[in-house]
Amino acid sequence: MKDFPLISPCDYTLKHYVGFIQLFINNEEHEYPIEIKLDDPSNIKTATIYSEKLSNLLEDNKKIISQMLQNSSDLNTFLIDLKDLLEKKEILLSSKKYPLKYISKMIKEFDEIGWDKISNLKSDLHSLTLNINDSYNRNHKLDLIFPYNYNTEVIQIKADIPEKIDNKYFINELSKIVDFYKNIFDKYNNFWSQLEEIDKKTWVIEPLNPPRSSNYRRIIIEKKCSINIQVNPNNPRSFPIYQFMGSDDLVQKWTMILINKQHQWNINISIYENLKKILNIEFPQKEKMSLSDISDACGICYSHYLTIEKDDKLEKLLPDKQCKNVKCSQPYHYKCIFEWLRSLTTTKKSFNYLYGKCPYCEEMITLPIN
Amino acid sequence: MTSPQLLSRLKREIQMLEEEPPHGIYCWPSETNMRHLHAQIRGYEKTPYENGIFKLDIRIPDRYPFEPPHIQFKTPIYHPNVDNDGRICLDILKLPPKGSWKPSLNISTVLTSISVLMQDPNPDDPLLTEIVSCVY
Repeated sequence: MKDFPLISPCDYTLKHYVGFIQLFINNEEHEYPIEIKLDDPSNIKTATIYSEKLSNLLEDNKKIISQMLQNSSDLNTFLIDLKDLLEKKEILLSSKKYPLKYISKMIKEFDEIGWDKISNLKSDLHSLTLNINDSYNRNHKLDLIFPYNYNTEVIQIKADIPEKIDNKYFINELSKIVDFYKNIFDKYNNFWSQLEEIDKKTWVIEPLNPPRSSNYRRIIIEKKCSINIQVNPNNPRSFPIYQFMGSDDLVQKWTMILINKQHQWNINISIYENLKKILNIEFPQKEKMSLSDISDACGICYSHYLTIEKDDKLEKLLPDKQCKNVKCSQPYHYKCIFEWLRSLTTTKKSFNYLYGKCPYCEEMITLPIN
Repeated sequence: MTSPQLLSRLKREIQMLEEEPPHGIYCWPSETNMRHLHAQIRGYEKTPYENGIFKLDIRIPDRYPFEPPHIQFKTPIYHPNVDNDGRICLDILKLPPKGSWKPSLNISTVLTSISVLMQDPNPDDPLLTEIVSCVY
Protein backbone atom coordinates (compact mmCIF):
# COMPACT_ATOMS: atom_id res chain seq x y z
CA MET A 1 0.00 0.00 0.00
CA LYS A 2 1.15 3.50 -0.86
CA ASP A 3 1.64 5.07 2.59
CA PHE A 4 1.89 1.79 4.47
CA PRO A 5 4.61 -0.33 2.88
CA LEU A 6 4.50 -2.77 5.81
CA ILE A 7 0.88 -3.77 5.13
CA SER A 8 0.18 -6.04 2.20
CA PRO A 9 -2.65 -8.28 0.95
CA CYS A 10 -2.49 -12.02 1.70
CA ASP A 11 -3.80 -13.20 -1.66
CA TYR A 12 -5.26 -12.05 -4.97
CA THR A 13 -8.85 -11.75 -3.60
CA LEU A 14 -7.71 -8.61 -1.66
CA LYS A 15 -10.00 -9.62 1.23
CA HIS A 16 -7.31 -10.04 3.82
CA TYR A 17 -4.39 -7.71 4.70
CA VAL A 18 -1.66 -8.29 7.28
CA GLY A 19 1.36 -6.28 8.36
CA PHE A 20 2.51 -3.60 10.74
CA ILE A 21 1.23 -0.09 11.48
CA GLN A 22 3.86 2.45 12.56
CA LEU A 23 2.96 4.92 15.27
CA PHE A 24 5.13 7.86 16.37
CA ILE A 25 4.73 8.30 20.09
CA ASN A 26 6.89 10.80 22.01
CA ASN A 27 9.37 10.89 19.12
CA GLU A 28 9.79 7.14 19.10
CA GLU A 29 8.65 4.85 16.35
CA HIS A 30 6.61 1.82 17.38
CA GLU A 31 5.40 -0.96 15.12
CA TYR A 32 2.22 -2.81 15.93
CA PRO A 33 1.01 -5.94 14.10
CA ILE A 34 -2.35 -5.36 12.45
CA GLU A 35 -4.79 -7.41 10.41
CA ILE A 36 -7.62 -6.13 8.22
CA LYS A 37 -10.43 -8.25 6.83
CA LEU A 38 -12.86 -7.11 4.18
CA ASP A 39 -16.10 -8.89 3.33
CA ASP A 40 -16.24 -7.03 0.04
CA PRO A 41 -12.84 -5.88 -1.28
CA SER A 42 -14.38 -2.98 -3.24
CA ASN A 43 -16.26 -1.67 -0.22
CA ILE A 44 -14.16 -0.26 2.64
CA LYS A 45 -17.25 -0.07 4.91
CA THR A 46 -17.20 -3.86 5.34
CA ALA A 47 -13.73 -3.86 6.91
CA THR A 48 -12.90 -5.17 10.38
CA ILE A 49 -9.61 -4.39 12.15
CA TYR A 50 -7.70 -6.75 14.43
CA SER A 51 -4.64 -6.05 16.52
CA GLU A 52 -3.82 -7.82 19.74
CA LYS A 53 -1.45 -5.14 21.01
CA LEU A 54 -3.85 -2.31 20.19
CA SER A 55 -7.02 -4.16 21.18
CA ASN A 56 -7.76 -1.88 24.18
CA LEU A 57 -7.39 1.25 22.09
CA LEU A 58 -9.50 -0.17 19.28
CA GLU A 59 -12.19 -1.25 21.70
CA ASP A 60 -12.29 2.16 23.47
CA ASN A 61 -12.64 4.03 20.19
CA LYS A 62 -14.95 1.57 18.44
CA LYS A 63 -17.53 4.23 17.61
CA ILE A 64 -15.08 6.70 16.08
CA ILE A 65 -13.41 3.97 14.06
CA SER A 66 -16.66 2.70 12.60
CA GLN A 67 -17.55 6.30 11.73
CA MET A 68 -14.18 6.71 10.03
CA LEU A 69 -14.86 3.54 8.02
CA GLN A 70 -18.17 4.99 6.85
CA ASN A 71 -16.52 8.20 5.70
CA SER A 72 -13.38 6.82 4.02
CA SER A 73 -13.19 6.25 0.30
CA ASP A 74 -10.43 3.63 0.29
CA LEU A 75 -8.25 1.62 2.64
CA ASN A 76 -5.25 3.94 2.37
CA THR A 77 -7.07 7.10 3.51
CA PHE A 78 -8.72 5.13 6.28
CA LEU A 79 -5.37 3.89 7.59
CA ILE A 80 -3.98 7.46 7.58
CA ASP A 81 -6.94 8.56 9.72
CA LEU A 82 -6.60 5.53 11.98
CA LYS A 83 -2.89 6.10 12.51
CA ASP A 84 -3.57 9.72 13.42
CA LEU A 85 -6.24 8.73 15.93
CA LEU A 86 -4.21 5.96 17.57
CA GLU A 87 -1.17 8.20 17.96
CA LYS A 88 -3.20 10.91 19.69
CA LYS A 89 -4.90 8.46 22.03
CA GLU A 90 -1.71 6.59 22.86
CA ILE A 91 0.08 9.85 23.79
CA LEU A 92 -2.86 10.80 26.00
CA LEU A 93 -2.72 7.41 27.71
CA SER A 94 1.01 7.47 28.30
CA SER A 95 0.68 10.88 30.00
CA LYS A 96 -1.70 9.26 32.50
CA LYS A 97 0.85 6.78 33.79
CA TYR A 98 3.07 7.33 36.77
CA PRO A 99 6.80 6.66 36.37
CA LEU A 100 8.24 3.76 38.34
CA LYS A 101 10.11 6.10 40.72
CA TYR A 102 6.90 7.75 41.83
CA ILE A 103 5.10 4.46 42.29
CA SER A 104 7.85 3.01 44.50
CA LYS A 105 7.82 6.22 46.58
CA MET A 106 4.08 5.88 47.04
CA ILE A 107 4.33 2.23 48.06
CA LYS A 108 6.98 3.15 50.62
CA GLU A 109 4.58 5.71 52.04
CA PHE A 110 1.78 3.14 52.19
CA ASP A 111 4.09 0.92 54.23
CA GLU A 112 4.82 3.80 56.55
CA ILE A 113 1.20 4.66 57.41
CA GLY A 114 0.07 1.03 57.37
CA TRP A 115 -1.88 -0.80 54.68
CA ASP A 116 -4.83 -1.35 57.02
CA LYS A 117 -5.66 2.36 56.61
CA ILE A 118 -5.95 2.06 52.85
CA SER A 119 -9.04 1.01 50.94
CA ASN A 120 -10.55 1.55 47.48
CA LEU A 121 -7.10 1.69 45.97
CA LYS A 122 -7.40 1.96 42.19
CA SER A 123 -5.17 -0.40 40.22
CA ASP A 124 -3.59 2.56 38.40
CA LEU A 125 -2.79 4.18 41.80
CA HIS A 126 -4.83 7.21 40.81
CA SER A 127 -7.07 7.36 43.87
CA LEU A 128 -7.61 5.75 47.26
CA THR A 129 -9.52 6.15 50.51
CA LEU A 130 -7.77 6.49 53.87
CA ASN A 131 -9.53 5.24 57.01
CA ILE A 132 -8.49 7.29 60.00
CA ASN A 133 -9.63 6.85 63.59
CA ASP A 134 -9.72 9.97 65.74
CA SER A 135 -9.03 9.97 69.48
CA TYR A 136 -12.72 9.51 70.23
CA ASN A 137 -13.21 6.28 68.29
CA ARG A 138 -14.89 7.83 65.30
CA ASN A 139 -13.89 6.43 61.95
CA HIS A 140 -13.26 8.98 59.21
CA LYS A 141 -12.71 8.56 55.52
CA LEU A 142 -10.38 10.69 53.42
CA ASP A 143 -10.65 10.45 49.64
CA LEU A 144 -7.34 11.12 47.93
CA ILE A 145 -6.74 11.70 44.23
CA PHE A 146 -3.14 11.70 43.04
CA PRO A 147 -2.35 14.15 40.24
CA TYR A 148 -0.79 12.90 37.02
CA ASN A 149 1.45 15.98 37.03
CA TYR A 150 2.84 15.02 40.41
CA ASN A 151 5.69 17.54 40.13
CA THR A 152 3.51 20.61 39.86
CA GLU A 153 0.19 19.62 41.39
CA VAL A 154 -0.79 18.59 44.90
CA ILE A 155 -2.83 15.62 46.06
CA GLN A 156 -6.56 16.39 46.06
CA ILE A 157 -8.13 15.55 49.41
CA LYS A 158 -11.82 15.23 50.14
CA ALA A 159 -12.74 15.06 53.82
CA ASP A 160 -16.16 14.95 55.45
CA ILE A 161 -15.67 17.92 57.79
CA PRO A 162 -17.59 21.18 58.34
CA GLU A 163 -14.85 23.43 56.93
CA LYS A 164 -12.95 23.73 53.69
CA ILE A 165 -9.23 23.08 53.85
CA ASP A 166 -6.87 24.30 51.21
CA ASN A 167 -4.26 21.74 50.31
CA LYS A 168 -2.05 24.39 48.69
CA TYR A 169 0.71 24.37 51.32
CA PHE A 170 0.90 20.64 51.71
CA ILE A 171 3.84 18.46 51.02
CA ASN A 172 2.65 15.40 49.15
CA GLU A 173 3.43 13.00 51.93
CA LEU A 174 0.82 10.61 53.25
CA SER A 175 1.99 10.39 56.87
CA LYS A 176 1.84 14.18 57.20
CA ILE A 177 -1.65 14.22 55.72
CA VAL A 178 -2.79 11.58 58.22
CA ASP A 179 -1.40 13.54 61.18
CA PHE A 180 -2.83 16.82 59.97
CA TYR A 181 -6.33 15.45 59.55
CA LYS A 182 -6.22 13.54 62.83
CA ASN A 183 -5.80 16.90 64.56
CA ILE A 184 -8.70 18.40 62.64
CA PHE A 185 -10.98 15.46 63.43
CA ASP A 186 -10.15 15.81 67.12
CA LYS A 187 -10.89 19.51 66.98
CA TYR A 188 -14.50 18.87 65.94
CA ASN A 189 -15.17 16.22 68.60
CA ASN A 190 -17.40 18.53 70.62
CA PHE A 191 -19.36 19.62 67.55
CA TRP A 192 -20.00 16.03 66.46
CA SER A 193 -20.98 14.81 69.91
CA GLN A 194 -23.60 17.60 70.09
CA LEU A 195 -25.12 16.53 66.79
CA GLU A 196 -24.85 12.83 67.63
CA GLU A 197 -26.92 13.42 70.74
CA ILE A 198 -29.57 15.21 68.68
CA ASP A 199 -29.56 12.43 66.08
CA LYS A 200 -30.02 9.83 68.80
CA LYS A 201 -32.62 11.50 71.01
CA THR A 202 -34.80 13.40 68.54
CA TRP A 203 -36.45 12.78 65.24
CA VAL A 204 -34.39 14.42 62.52
CA ILE A 205 -36.24 14.70 59.19
CA GLU A 206 -33.56 16.62 57.35
CA PRO A 207 -30.89 15.75 56.34
CA LEU A 208 -31.53 12.00 56.17
CA ASN A 209 -28.30 10.13 57.02
CA PRO A 210 -26.42 13.39 57.62
CA PRO A 211 -22.75 13.47 56.60
CA ARG A 212 -20.23 14.66 59.21
CA SER A 213 -19.80 17.91 57.28
CA SER A 214 -23.44 18.90 57.74
CA ASN A 215 -24.02 21.42 60.54
CA TYR A 216 -27.81 21.71 60.48
CA ARG A 217 -30.66 19.49 61.67
CA ARG A 218 -34.39 19.79 61.16
CA ILE A 219 -36.08 18.31 64.21
CA ILE A 220 -39.73 17.52 64.79
CA ILE A 221 -41.21 19.44 67.75
CA GLU A 222 -44.83 18.48 67.49
CA LYS A 223 -47.43 17.73 64.85
CA LYS A 224 -46.99 19.94 61.80
CA CYS A 225 -44.10 21.88 63.28
CA SER A 226 -40.35 21.45 63.16
CA ILE A 227 -37.29 23.49 64.04
CA ASN A 228 -34.22 23.87 61.86
CA ILE A 229 -31.06 24.56 63.84
CA GLN A 230 -27.68 25.45 62.47
CA VAL A 231 -24.78 24.69 64.81
CA ASN A 232 -21.58 26.68 64.76
CA PRO A 233 -18.79 24.07 64.31
CA ASN A 234 -16.23 26.23 66.13
CA ASN A 235 -18.49 27.01 69.07
CA PRO A 236 -21.02 24.19 69.12
CA ARG A 237 -22.68 24.90 72.45
CA SER A 238 -23.53 28.51 71.64
CA PHE A 239 -27.06 29.54 70.78
CA PRO A 240 -27.68 28.12 67.29
CA ILE A 241 -29.21 29.88 64.31
CA TYR A 242 -32.78 28.58 64.23
CA GLN A 243 -35.90 28.67 62.11
CA PHE A 244 -39.28 27.15 62.83
CA MET A 245 -41.16 25.52 59.99
CA GLY A 246 -44.78 24.46 59.73
CA SER A 247 -48.19 26.10 59.95
CA ASP A 248 -48.12 29.84 60.65
CA ASP A 249 -49.78 29.92 64.08
CA LEU A 250 -47.51 27.19 65.48
CA VAL A 251 -44.40 28.86 64.06
CA GLN A 252 -45.42 32.11 65.73
CA LYS A 253 -46.10 30.41 69.06
CA TRP A 254 -42.73 28.62 69.20
CA THR A 255 -40.75 31.61 67.94
CA MET A 256 -42.21 33.74 70.74
CA ILE A 257 -41.30 31.13 73.35
CA LEU A 258 -37.73 30.87 72.11
CA ILE A 259 -37.22 34.64 71.86
CA ASN A 260 -38.55 35.23 75.38
CA LYS A 261 -36.41 32.52 76.92
CA GLN A 262 -33.28 32.98 74.84
CA HIS A 263 -31.38 34.44 77.85
CA GLN A 264 -31.78 31.09 79.64
CA TRP A 265 -29.47 29.38 77.15
CA ASN A 266 -26.72 27.71 79.15
CA ILE A 267 -23.47 26.96 77.32
CA ASN A 268 -22.44 24.41 79.95
CA ILE A 269 -25.08 21.93 78.87
CA SER A 270 -25.69 20.43 75.44
CA ILE A 271 -27.86 21.85 72.70
CA TYR A 272 -30.34 19.03 73.17
CA GLU A 273 -30.69 19.69 76.90
CA ASN A 274 -30.99 23.43 76.30
CA LEU A 275 -33.73 23.06 73.70
CA LYS A 276 -35.59 20.58 75.86
CA LYS A 277 -35.47 22.92 78.85
CA ILE A 278 -36.32 26.14 77.04
CA LEU A 279 -39.10 24.78 74.82
CA ASN A 280 -40.26 22.66 77.79
CA ILE A 281 -41.08 19.60 75.66
CA GLU A 282 -40.24 15.95 75.19
CA PHE A 283 -39.02 15.54 71.63
CA PRO A 284 -41.14 13.04 69.69
CA GLN A 285 -39.29 9.86 68.74
CA LYS A 286 -39.43 8.38 65.30
CA GLU A 287 -40.79 4.99 66.38
CA LYS A 288 -43.91 6.44 67.99
CA MET A 289 -45.15 8.56 65.11
CA SER A 290 -45.13 8.30 61.35
CA LEU A 291 -44.28 11.08 58.96
CA SER A 292 -47.91 11.54 57.86
CA ASP A 293 -48.87 12.37 61.48
CA ILE A 294 -46.38 15.20 61.47
CA SER A 295 -47.02 16.87 58.17
CA ASP A 296 -49.03 16.35 55.02
CA ALA A 297 -47.34 15.25 51.85
CA CYS A 298 -46.86 17.66 48.96
CA GLY A 299 -50.16 18.29 47.17
CA ILE A 300 -48.61 17.81 43.77
CA CYS A 301 -46.23 14.85 43.93
CA TYR A 302 -48.10 13.21 46.85
CA SER A 303 -44.88 12.43 48.71
CA HIS A 304 -42.92 13.82 51.63
CA TYR A 305 -39.51 13.55 50.06
CA LEU A 306 -38.92 14.76 46.52
CA THR A 307 -35.72 13.31 45.09
CA ILE A 308 -33.77 15.70 42.91
CA GLU A 309 -30.35 15.63 41.39
CA LYS A 310 -28.00 18.37 42.52
CA ASP A 311 -24.29 18.44 41.68
CA ASP A 312 -24.44 14.76 40.65
CA LYS A 313 -25.84 13.82 44.05
CA LEU A 314 -29.35 12.74 44.89
CA GLU A 315 -30.99 14.96 47.43
CA LYS A 316 -34.25 14.45 49.25
CA LEU A 317 -36.30 17.55 49.92
CA LEU A 318 -39.25 18.04 52.23
CA PRO A 319 -42.16 20.35 51.32
CA ASP A 320 -40.95 23.90 51.96
CA LYS A 321 -43.89 25.98 50.74
CA GLN A 322 -47.33 26.20 52.24
CA CYS A 323 -50.64 27.80 51.17
CA LYS A 324 -51.17 30.90 53.31
CA ASN A 325 -54.88 30.20 53.64
CA VAL A 326 -55.17 28.86 57.22
CA LYS A 327 -58.08 26.59 56.32
CA CYS A 328 -56.10 25.05 53.46
CA SER A 329 -52.42 25.30 54.49
CA GLN A 330 -51.58 22.69 51.85
CA PRO A 331 -47.83 22.02 51.77
CA TYR A 332 -45.91 21.89 48.50
CA HIS A 333 -42.36 21.36 47.39
CA TYR A 334 -41.14 24.62 45.93
CA LYS A 335 -40.14 22.73 42.77
CA CYS A 336 -43.61 21.20 42.34
CA ILE A 337 -45.71 24.33 42.84
CA PHE A 338 -43.25 26.40 40.79
CA GLU A 339 -43.46 23.96 37.88
CA TRP A 340 -47.28 24.11 37.95
CA LEU A 341 -47.60 27.92 38.22
CA ARG A 342 -44.94 28.42 35.56
CA SER A 343 -46.85 26.30 33.04
CA LEU A 344 -50.08 28.30 33.46
CA THR A 345 -50.88 31.23 31.21
CA THR A 346 -52.99 32.78 33.96
CA THR A 347 -50.03 33.11 36.34
CA LYS A 348 -48.80 36.67 36.62
CA LYS A 349 -45.15 37.51 36.87
CA SER A 350 -43.82 40.67 38.43
CA PHE A 351 -40.18 41.34 39.18
CA ASN A 352 -38.87 38.16 40.77
CA TYR A 353 -42.23 36.76 41.87
CA LEU A 354 -44.93 34.53 40.43
CA TYR A 355 -48.53 35.20 41.41
CA GLY A 356 -50.90 32.27 40.95
CA LYS A 357 -53.61 30.27 42.61
CA CYS A 358 -53.31 27.36 45.04
CA PRO A 359 -54.54 24.28 43.11
CA TYR A 360 -56.55 23.22 46.15
CA CYS A 361 -58.28 26.34 47.51
CA GLU A 362 -57.77 28.84 44.65
CA GLU A 363 -56.31 31.32 47.14
CA MET A 364 -53.45 33.54 45.92
CA ILE A 365 -49.93 32.08 46.19
CA THR A 366 -46.80 34.17 45.75
CA LEU A 367 -43.59 32.41 44.84
CA PRO A 368 -40.10 33.90 44.52
CA ILE A 369 -38.27 32.91 41.32
CA ASN A 370 -34.92 31.36 42.16
CA MET B 1 -38.19 13.32 29.99
CA THR B 2 -40.69 12.43 32.63
CA SER B 3 -41.18 14.85 35.48
CA PRO B 4 -39.49 13.78 38.76
CA GLN B 5 -42.88 14.03 40.42
CA LEU B 6 -44.49 11.43 38.14
CA LEU B 7 -43.26 8.16 39.65
CA SER B 8 -43.82 8.92 43.32
CA ARG B 9 -47.22 10.37 42.62
CA LEU B 10 -48.34 7.52 40.37
CA LYS B 11 -47.27 4.87 42.89
CA ARG B 12 -49.24 6.63 45.61
CA GLU B 13 -52.28 6.99 43.37
CA ILE B 14 -52.27 3.32 42.37
CA GLN B 15 -52.07 2.40 46.03
CA MET B 16 -54.99 4.72 46.82
CA LEU B 17 -57.06 3.29 43.96
CA GLU B 18 -56.44 -0.17 45.38
CA GLU B 19 -57.17 0.69 49.02
CA GLU B 20 -60.10 3.09 48.65
CA PRO B 21 -61.55 2.88 45.15
CA PRO B 22 -64.27 5.40 44.26
CA HIS B 23 -67.84 4.13 44.19
CA GLY B 24 -68.66 1.95 41.20
CA ILE B 25 -65.19 2.34 39.73
CA TYR B 26 -62.38 -0.16 39.40
CA CYS B 27 -58.95 0.92 38.16
CA TRP B 28 -55.65 -0.92 37.89
CA PRO B 29 -52.31 -0.53 36.09
CA SER B 30 -51.43 -2.77 33.16
CA GLU B 31 -48.90 -5.47 33.97
CA THR B 32 -46.10 -4.20 31.81
CA ASN B 33 -46.46 -0.43 32.02
CA MET B 34 -47.33 1.55 35.12
CA ARG B 35 -48.23 4.55 32.97
CA HIS B 36 -50.98 2.66 31.18
CA LEU B 37 -54.00 1.99 33.36
CA HIS B 38 -57.30 0.25 32.77
CA ALA B 39 -60.54 1.29 34.38
CA GLN B 40 -64.09 0.04 34.55
CA ILE B 41 -67.09 2.18 35.43
CA ARG B 42 -70.35 0.51 36.37
CA GLY B 43 -73.41 2.15 34.82
CA TYR B 44 -75.59 3.73 37.48
CA GLU B 45 -79.07 2.52 38.30
CA LYS B 46 -81.98 4.28 36.61
CA THR B 47 -79.79 5.44 33.76
CA PRO B 48 -79.63 3.92 30.27
CA TYR B 49 -76.23 2.52 31.26
CA GLU B 50 -77.56 0.44 34.18
CA ASN B 51 -75.93 -3.01 34.47
CA GLY B 52 -73.31 -2.07 31.90
CA ILE B 53 -69.59 -2.24 32.51
CA PHE B 54 -67.74 0.50 30.60
CA LYS B 55 -64.05 0.02 30.00
CA LEU B 56 -61.67 2.94 29.78
CA ASP B 57 -58.05 3.35 28.82
CA ILE B 58 -55.86 5.75 30.79
CA ARG B 59 -52.47 6.97 29.57
CA ILE B 60 -50.27 9.03 31.87
CA PRO B 61 -48.34 11.74 29.98
CA ASP B 62 -44.67 12.57 30.65
CA ARG B 63 -45.51 15.80 32.43
CA TYR B 64 -48.17 14.35 34.71
CA PRO B 65 -49.37 15.70 37.21
CA PHE B 66 -48.77 19.04 35.44
CA GLU B 67 -50.79 17.71 32.51
CA PRO B 68 -54.08 15.81 32.71
CA PRO B 69 -54.19 12.04 32.05
CA HIS B 70 -55.44 10.94 28.60
CA ILE B 71 -58.66 8.98 29.07
CA GLN B 72 -60.74 7.24 26.41
CA PHE B 73 -63.75 4.94 26.48
CA LYS B 74 -62.92 1.50 25.08
CA THR B 75 -66.51 0.33 25.28
CA PRO B 76 -68.74 2.09 22.69
CA ILE B 77 -71.09 4.39 24.55
CA TYR B 78 -74.03 6.43 23.29
CA HIS B 79 -73.48 9.74 25.06
CA PRO B 80 -73.55 13.36 23.81
CA ASN B 81 -70.15 14.16 25.32
CA VAL B 82 -68.29 11.10 24.02
CA ASP B 83 -67.41 10.69 20.32
CA ASN B 84 -67.24 7.51 18.25
CA ASP B 85 -63.59 6.95 19.12
CA GLY B 86 -64.34 7.13 22.83
CA ARG B 87 -62.88 10.61 23.35
CA ILE B 88 -64.49 12.45 26.21
CA CYS B 89 -65.39 16.13 26.25
CA LEU B 90 -64.83 17.15 29.82
CA ASP B 91 -63.22 20.40 30.94
CA ILE B 92 -61.04 18.84 33.65
CA LEU B 93 -59.37 16.66 30.99
CA LYS B 94 -57.89 19.74 29.34
CA LEU B 95 -55.21 22.15 30.49
CA PRO B 96 -56.11 25.76 31.36
CA PRO B 97 -57.02 28.19 29.88
CA LYS B 98 -59.29 25.94 27.70
CA GLY B 99 -59.90 23.41 30.41
CA SER B 100 -59.63 23.28 34.16
CA TRP B 101 -57.15 20.48 34.95
CA LYS B 102 -55.07 21.13 38.04
CA PRO B 103 -52.68 18.89 39.98
CA SER B 104 -55.02 18.74 42.95
CA LEU B 105 -57.17 16.46 40.80
CA ASN B 106 -56.11 12.85 40.30
CA ILE B 107 -57.09 9.68 38.45
CA SER B 108 -59.66 8.81 41.07
CA THR B 109 -61.45 12.18 41.01
CA VAL B 110 -61.33 12.33 37.22
CA LEU B 111 -62.93 8.88 36.93
CA THR B 112 -65.59 9.95 39.42
CA SER B 113 -66.31 13.02 37.26
CA ILE B 114 -66.66 10.80 34.20
CA SER B 115 -69.08 8.57 36.09
CA VAL B 116 -71.08 11.68 37.10
CA LEU B 117 -71.02 12.84 33.46
CA MET B 118 -72.58 9.51 32.49
CA GLN B 119 -75.47 10.14 34.88
CA ASP B 120 -75.75 13.80 33.96
CA PRO B 121 -74.83 14.51 30.33
CA ASN B 122 -73.82 18.06 29.53
CA PRO B 123 -75.89 19.15 26.50
CA ASP B 124 -74.33 22.64 26.45
CA ASP B 125 -70.97 21.27 25.40
CA PRO B 126 -71.78 18.35 23.12
CA LEU B 127 -69.28 16.31 21.16
CA LEU B 128 -72.05 14.59 19.17
CA THR B 129 -75.37 16.34 18.75
CA GLU B 130 -75.95 14.57 15.46
CA ILE B 131 -72.30 13.67 14.98
CA VAL B 132 -71.04 17.22 15.22
CA SER B 133 -67.60 17.25 16.68
CA CYS B 134 -66.69 19.94 19.12
CA VAL B 135 -63.73 22.11 18.24
CA TYR B 136 -60.92 21.70 20.71
